[in-house]
Amino acid sequence: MFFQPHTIEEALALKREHGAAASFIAGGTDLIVMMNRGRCPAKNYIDLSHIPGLDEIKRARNDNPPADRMPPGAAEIYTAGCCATFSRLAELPVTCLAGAALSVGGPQIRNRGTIAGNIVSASPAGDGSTALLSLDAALELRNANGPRLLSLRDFFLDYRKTALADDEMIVSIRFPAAWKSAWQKLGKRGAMNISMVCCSCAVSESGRFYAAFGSAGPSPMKARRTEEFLTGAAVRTGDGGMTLSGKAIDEAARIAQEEVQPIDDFRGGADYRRAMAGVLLKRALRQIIA
Amino acid sequence: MKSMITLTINGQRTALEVPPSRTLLELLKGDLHLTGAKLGCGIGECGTCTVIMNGRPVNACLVLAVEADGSDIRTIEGESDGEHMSDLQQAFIDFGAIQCGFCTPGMIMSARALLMRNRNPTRDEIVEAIAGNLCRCTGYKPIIEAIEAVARARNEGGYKTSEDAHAPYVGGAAKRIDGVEKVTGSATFVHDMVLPGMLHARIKISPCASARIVHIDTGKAAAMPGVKAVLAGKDLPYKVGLYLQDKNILARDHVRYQGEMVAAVAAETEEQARAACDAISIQYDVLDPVLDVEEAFASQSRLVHEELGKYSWLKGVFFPKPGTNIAHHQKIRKGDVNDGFARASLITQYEFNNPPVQHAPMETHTAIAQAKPGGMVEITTSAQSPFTVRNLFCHTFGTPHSKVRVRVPYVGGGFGGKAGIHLEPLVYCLSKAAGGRPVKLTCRREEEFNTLPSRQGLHSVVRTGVTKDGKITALDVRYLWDAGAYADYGVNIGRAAAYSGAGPYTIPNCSIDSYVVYTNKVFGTAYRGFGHLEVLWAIERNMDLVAKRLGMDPYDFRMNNLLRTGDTTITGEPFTENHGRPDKCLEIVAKEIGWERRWKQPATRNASGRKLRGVGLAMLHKAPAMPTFTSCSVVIKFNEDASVNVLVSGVDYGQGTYTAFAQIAADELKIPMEKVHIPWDCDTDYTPYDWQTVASRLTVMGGNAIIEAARECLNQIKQMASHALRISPDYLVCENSRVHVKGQPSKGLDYKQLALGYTYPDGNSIGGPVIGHGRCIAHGLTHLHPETGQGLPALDWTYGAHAAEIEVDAETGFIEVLRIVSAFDAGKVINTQQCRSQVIGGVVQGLGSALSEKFIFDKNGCFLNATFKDYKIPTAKDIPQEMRPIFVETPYPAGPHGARGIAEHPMISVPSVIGNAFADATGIEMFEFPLDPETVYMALNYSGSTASVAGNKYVTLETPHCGRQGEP
Ligand code: FES
Ligand code: FES
Repeated sequence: MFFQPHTIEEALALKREHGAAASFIAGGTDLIVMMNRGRCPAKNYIDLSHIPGLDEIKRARNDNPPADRMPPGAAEIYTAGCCATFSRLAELPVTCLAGAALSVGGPQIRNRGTIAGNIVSASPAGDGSTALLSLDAALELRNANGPRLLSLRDFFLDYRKTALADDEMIVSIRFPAAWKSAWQKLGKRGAMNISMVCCSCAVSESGRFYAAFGSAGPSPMKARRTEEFLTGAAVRTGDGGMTLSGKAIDEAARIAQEEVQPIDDFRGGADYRRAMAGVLLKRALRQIIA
Repeated sequence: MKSMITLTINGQRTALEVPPSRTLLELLKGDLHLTGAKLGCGIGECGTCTVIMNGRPVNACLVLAVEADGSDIRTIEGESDGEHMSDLQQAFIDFGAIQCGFCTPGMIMSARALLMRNRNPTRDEIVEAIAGNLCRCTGYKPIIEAIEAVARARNEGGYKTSEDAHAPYVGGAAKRIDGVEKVTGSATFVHDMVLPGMLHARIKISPCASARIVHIDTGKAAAMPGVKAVLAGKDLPYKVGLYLQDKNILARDHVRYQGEMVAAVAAETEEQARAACDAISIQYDVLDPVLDVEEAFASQSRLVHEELGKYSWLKGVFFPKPGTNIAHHQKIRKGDVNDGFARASLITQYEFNNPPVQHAPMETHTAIAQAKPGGMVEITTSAQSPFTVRNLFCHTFGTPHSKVRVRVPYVGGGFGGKAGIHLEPLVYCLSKAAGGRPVKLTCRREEEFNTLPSRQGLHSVVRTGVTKDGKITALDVRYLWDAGAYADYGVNIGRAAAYSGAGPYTIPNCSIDSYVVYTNKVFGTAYRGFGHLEVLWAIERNMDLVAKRLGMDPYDFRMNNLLRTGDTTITGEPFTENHGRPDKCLEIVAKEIGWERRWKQPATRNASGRKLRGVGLAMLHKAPAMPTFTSCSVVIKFNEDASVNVLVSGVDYGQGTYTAFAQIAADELKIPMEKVHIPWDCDTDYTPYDWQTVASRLTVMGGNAIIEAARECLNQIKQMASHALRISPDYLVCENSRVHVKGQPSKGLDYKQLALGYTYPDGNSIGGPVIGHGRCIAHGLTHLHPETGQGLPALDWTYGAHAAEIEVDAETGFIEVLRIVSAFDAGKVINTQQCRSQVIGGVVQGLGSALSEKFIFDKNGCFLNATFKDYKIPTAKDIPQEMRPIFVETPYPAGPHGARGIAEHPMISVPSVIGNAFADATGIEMFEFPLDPETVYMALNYSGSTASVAGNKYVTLETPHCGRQGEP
């Protein structure tokens, strides 16, 4: 069955009714590929493209009540609707996310592919997910009973496994609007690449460092130890920015290389991916402190 | 369940009822008959289906029609009225941005979407805008230039086409005669065709590389809705093969590679056919596959073809060895290698490898066949050679040639992969089994990779003897071709690449053993260059390695040994002044790249030391590989208005031959080019015989035939005119669509007055419709001697050279090609624009081989990267900053206007030149391509002096050693 609800409430009612047997579809860039291969992931589809407003991106002060203030370290945030496309994200002044969005497929894919689709697929190579992890993004999830907020850093559980319940949808994603960040991705050619490895870094207003890697583990991964090291090693500069010594950058790369858990497959060897995780992190950090 | 949707398509509102699973592409092509958008992959990885939806480009294959409800859609059909081209369409024609045309509609849509949003795009923005559109033919550069020209002209009153009215046809830059059809999306490919009553076929392929088929149950599939025919190998007791009949239409008893076709279904719809294929159950007894070519070569117990001795093959030309995996052994013996090595002061031995790769034309293989009453057969196919399809078809089924009609319309790229015969026999059998309804089978992109043939892998061992002053005294080479499961063209590649297998050098003592070896992998076939890219990887890398061992500049070492007038080739062919100038090509590219300066200075690093730069050189040569009796024919028919139709059966699948033909015909007939029409469909019922469109031979042989046909037409015209004007034909000349008396232009007749015969004022008539035919056959070629390989195998040789400058990112292993300069002795450039496009397209295709493309198999021989996502052909972002084609013109006296073939050559030796530049940049010698980032990184970080890096290995022997390895 193919459902075309016009409101979120209708969509969630359908999802409650069909549970795992129904799949939301928005851009379709993942699902239609599966259908084309004769591997239909679900019996039913709930098309989100006719619900108005789901592709909007808004910027606002992060002045929700403390329990709701996510990501906690951001003074100003963007809230992107689940159906916001990569093309839209690529236009935002958030360096890592815009870079990640621009590195997805070609323009045609970016015009259809949505951020929530990228997140729920939980692909280990998810460029958007990796960038959002380094922004400490938060998800607004909702089922027919109401919403809940969840940090993206608690969303990915294992290979293609997430914390999303069968009756839930991702309604929107919140991420900081003004953190300094950087994006690095390595593919085998100039465009239309899936990441061999990608790396995203950001630093919060309070000087906390975040680092995440794609294609370096079973799901997009945050590099906790690397982040802690960087946060400790960084020094505040006269103009209020953060800086890192060359030695600290090298050490961070070494820690990241220990921390990542890439696999060996036909797309790339684990040794290479591990080495590149370090190289990309260094490049990203140099960009951030530049 | 169906939904009602409303779309505005090219400004027209349309309401439609669609099932939810229908994609926008299916809707456009199937329901609305807008066939301009193309299906290149169906999964968002190629961009051939690009349309503009609400102002943005999207892949129509990845949009469900129901999701598009309410949208504004713009397709290529809305780009112009079909008569007046849009600015982009005109610029694509003007800049040579089209070859096969399969990517063109999508490409123009992406460009249009960019220009709609951005008035003044930079070059980077243009590249980014088309980075999601793959093109296998053009190398992107002409496309980028066309879009840029339109963008720039916007601020100056809009794009205007320009035409040099005074340029001669031959040697000028005439625009493609198929341009308008291709830029408007009206060129119809087999992919786009639907016949009344047509059924759709799907195939079931083998999941394992080697297995015995124990049982096939098709019962359930046959009973499924819509199914009209189900076939398995047991139903088809036919053997097929080009030179060696070793293949079944569908696997019988054994499967020999993962991806081999095992069963097939024809049904009313493609979905039904696919569902039925899924319902066929097959039981396999899985065997241990033979995957390593050296192991396969040595083994006499694990055989891919137990029955090799029972097959039939072309005797006297090919030499299979029953009881082994050797499908062909080609020997070349010249002089005495032992003696040559004895006189050498240095002997080296190196080993080289390259993996199998794919042609990846944007249009996959597709064929429609119908078994008609009375034993008639009609086939419409995306093939390179209609007559070869017919001939091989008739061989297999014993059908009279006159009863089989093969039609080839526009073809979306081939590069050798569509030479020979592939899907046609199966589709015909399905049609027969389905009671004679036409059946269409279009390969999915995965099948194109996995089931249809590839370029063979090659393992080479090269021993070289040289004197201190850099003269080669002996060359001893063993080539092991990884043919995969079937011989197809592979055996002939093993033969042709052997007689070219020493490079364009004078080798006094030469021994080459070229073995074509069966393995349990997807089988190999012709691919642009026919073995030469692979062989010259070994030879041209070897030249650099040996030069360095001698302490000599590789440029000087090559110059020392290049073929020159008075030398003989390794098959004993005398090298004459008509052969062309390899030395000049080398000289030119070395000068352009600044070789002298660059070679003497150590490799440069950028400030941070992370980027290493280097330069390299490589030579290339190739002759058409074809039977000694290869021939073709052409018919020129005059129309009432003295325009002409030129009938040919060589296929223009993008390379531009028909435009060259039209130039040659117009030049010879002395008529304007617009008056020359070349019908695009080749049709064995109507167009005259041509052997095959392969081997860069069509312009040469077909061009000669056109000249002969045109002269016959002019003779007829002069004959009639001589009566009418009462003067001997010897005193008549033809000019400007007129025949007149020499020196008296006013005393003459227009062609128009003679096209159908001449009528005197009193009504008497003479002559008749003007129609000329021309022929060309390869003259004087001989078979190669079975023991020595001596003989004259080649019609014409084309020589050339590349020089490249690259930059290696030492941290990541990523190679950027900064500049590549290429020179070819083309004899005569018939069309400057198209020769340039051929070179750029070929170089970029060669860079795909050099830097990223390879088949990856798992340890069981299963193919892992059968998508464009994982099999990386270059995108618009992967082209060098600068590509410069240069042409030397040493006329080939037997070619039309002195021309030689040049279509394949640009691709050859591209990996070699990159490998050589890489060694210059990094000091590390690579022995296997592609030089993808991971391989490069590993080599940079983990190589010792005799390292084994990602399968790369080398050995160096200091002492003369003449024993051969592994001779069976
Ligand atoms: S056919 Fe749509 S992207 Fe390839
Ligand atoms: S012209 Fe682009 S694929 Fe052939």
